[in-house]
Amino acid sequence: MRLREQPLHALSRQANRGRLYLDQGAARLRIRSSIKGFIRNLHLLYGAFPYLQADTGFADHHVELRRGRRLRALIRPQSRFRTDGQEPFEPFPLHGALPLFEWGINWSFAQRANQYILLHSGVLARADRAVIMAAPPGSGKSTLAAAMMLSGFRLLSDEFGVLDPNSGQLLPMLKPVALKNQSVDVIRAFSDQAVIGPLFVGTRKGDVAHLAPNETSTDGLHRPARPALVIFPAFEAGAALDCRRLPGEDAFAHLAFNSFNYHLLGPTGFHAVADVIAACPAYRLRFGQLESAIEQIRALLDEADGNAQGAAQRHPG
Amino acid sequence: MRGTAALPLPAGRHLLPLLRDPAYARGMRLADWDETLRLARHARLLGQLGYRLQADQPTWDQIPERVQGHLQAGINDAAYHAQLVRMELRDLEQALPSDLSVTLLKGAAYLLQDLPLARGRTPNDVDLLVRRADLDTAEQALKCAGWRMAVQSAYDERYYREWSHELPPLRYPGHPLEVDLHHSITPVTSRTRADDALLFADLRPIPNSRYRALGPLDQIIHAVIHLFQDSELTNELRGLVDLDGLLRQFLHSEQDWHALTERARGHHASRLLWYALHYCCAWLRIRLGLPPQRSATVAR
Repeated sequence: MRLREQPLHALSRQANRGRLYLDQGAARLRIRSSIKGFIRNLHLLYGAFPYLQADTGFADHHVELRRGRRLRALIRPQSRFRTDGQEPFEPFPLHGALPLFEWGINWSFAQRANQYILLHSGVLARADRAVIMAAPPGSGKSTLAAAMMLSGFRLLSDEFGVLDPNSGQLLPMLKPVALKNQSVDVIRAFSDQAVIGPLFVGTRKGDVAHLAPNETSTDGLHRPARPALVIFPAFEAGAALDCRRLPGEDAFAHLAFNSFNYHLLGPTGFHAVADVIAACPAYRLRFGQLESAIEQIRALLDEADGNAQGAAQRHPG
Repeated sequence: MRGTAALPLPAGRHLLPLLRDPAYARGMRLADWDETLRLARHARLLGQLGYRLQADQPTWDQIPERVQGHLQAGINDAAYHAQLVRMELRDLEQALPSDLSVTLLKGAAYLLQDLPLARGRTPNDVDLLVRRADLDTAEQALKCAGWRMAVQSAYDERYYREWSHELPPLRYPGHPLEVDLHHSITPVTSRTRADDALLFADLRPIPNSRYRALGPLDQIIHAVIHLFQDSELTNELRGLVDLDGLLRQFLHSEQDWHALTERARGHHASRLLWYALHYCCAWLRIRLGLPPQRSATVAR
């Protein structure tokens, strides 16, 4: 059963009691909140996620979204994010509870999930072969990730490349894709399949709206993917498509230093990233148009798959 | 001493038994781990707990995978912080005059002495101790080498210098760790005043290092004083676990326990020792080397 098949009032009641569970793949959340509008947004944006009926009694992150108290409940009402007694951010306006929740989860996950290498990258997969897209904010990474999901790729994450150093595989950390400013209309125009939440105007990252992960993606919540291709995307308005292969050492540096915790993991992180770079061709992709960029990524993935199969035939086992 | 004091919180019902004996984990269900992991993380004990559990392979294999992940994250985080301490000590070594006697306290000392209790422990900062007469030399040497005081106001600085047992925290720009330069282990204002002459007479060299450590008994006394006189109350369970580790490390006979009580008397810390041992006994089940009646009278 999916979350959206539950009536809203039932979710609200569970959240009120602090018993709303949400599975994002690499993290399972337990949510407490009495903010109705927030639950309505969750219902929409996490609609395709599995509804967890059974209380396993275990969550990786316990989070609370609550209203400001006393006068703050009446005058310019607030929402506050708290996890295990910590409140990492200043309060948001009450209607901004969802973006606050999303940033709060990103913060908690990046603080705690140090059993993994957390690449700052979007990850999408075709048949469990993963494309890692790493770039600094503002490069069009999230927009490209959103468009790829809407073109048939499975979304694992638009923010975290969760690399398991034991298996060398990437784990889904699935959340709504945060689209900023013009990207919101770009994605709306890109596909009529896009389920997009309300626009939050004037957050610290500009205007933000979230794209709901689709069923293809939520059905793979616990299916890891093997790294196959590394892309460093760079959007440039009106630019022609330009794709250049990067030498391994450059790709390594870009990927490792675009990570949340590479510095923390020492040799573990070094080996895990080196293995990714050894297994995957890496490209810098400048693009001005989503369709042609995705076409190019498909072709690169075909080529990488062909090479990988060729290599497997040459070295069986 | 009674060993049956009530547990501090119902939530601690799994954490304390785990700290006493890693094999306790074999009987834990996934739901039992939920609040245990959160408490351990909050008490900055996740790394130590993880390290102990991982060292016990049959137990580790029975721990749910999701829980193993959290524990591994704690171990990784602790290893990173230990590495930061080693790097800071290496830089400090370049800055400090080689003939100056510098003693490491707490985390850094446990780490360089390679004590078992340092494994998985997450140090916060670097604590150095020098004689009061050497304080200016040490401070000037660090400032010349680029360390800066983080304290903003003259008021705060004066408070530290006149009433505290350490200088305002020093930090090299861009370094993640602060360095606390101490001249004693108890604040000037404290009712308990450790005997500095006793302290400095028993310093021990740390093998393969330019630094020294306090004598074993003084390391215990310092942990005891810190437990009850530190201004922050959030890390006190970890302080107790440190103390437990030191007692197990350094005390082997009834004579050792006698020597410890004598030493505490010398540092005017008998009462604090009594309290500390009481909780080590009640919560972590340390076996004291003295008959119960004797140890109960220590503080009197």
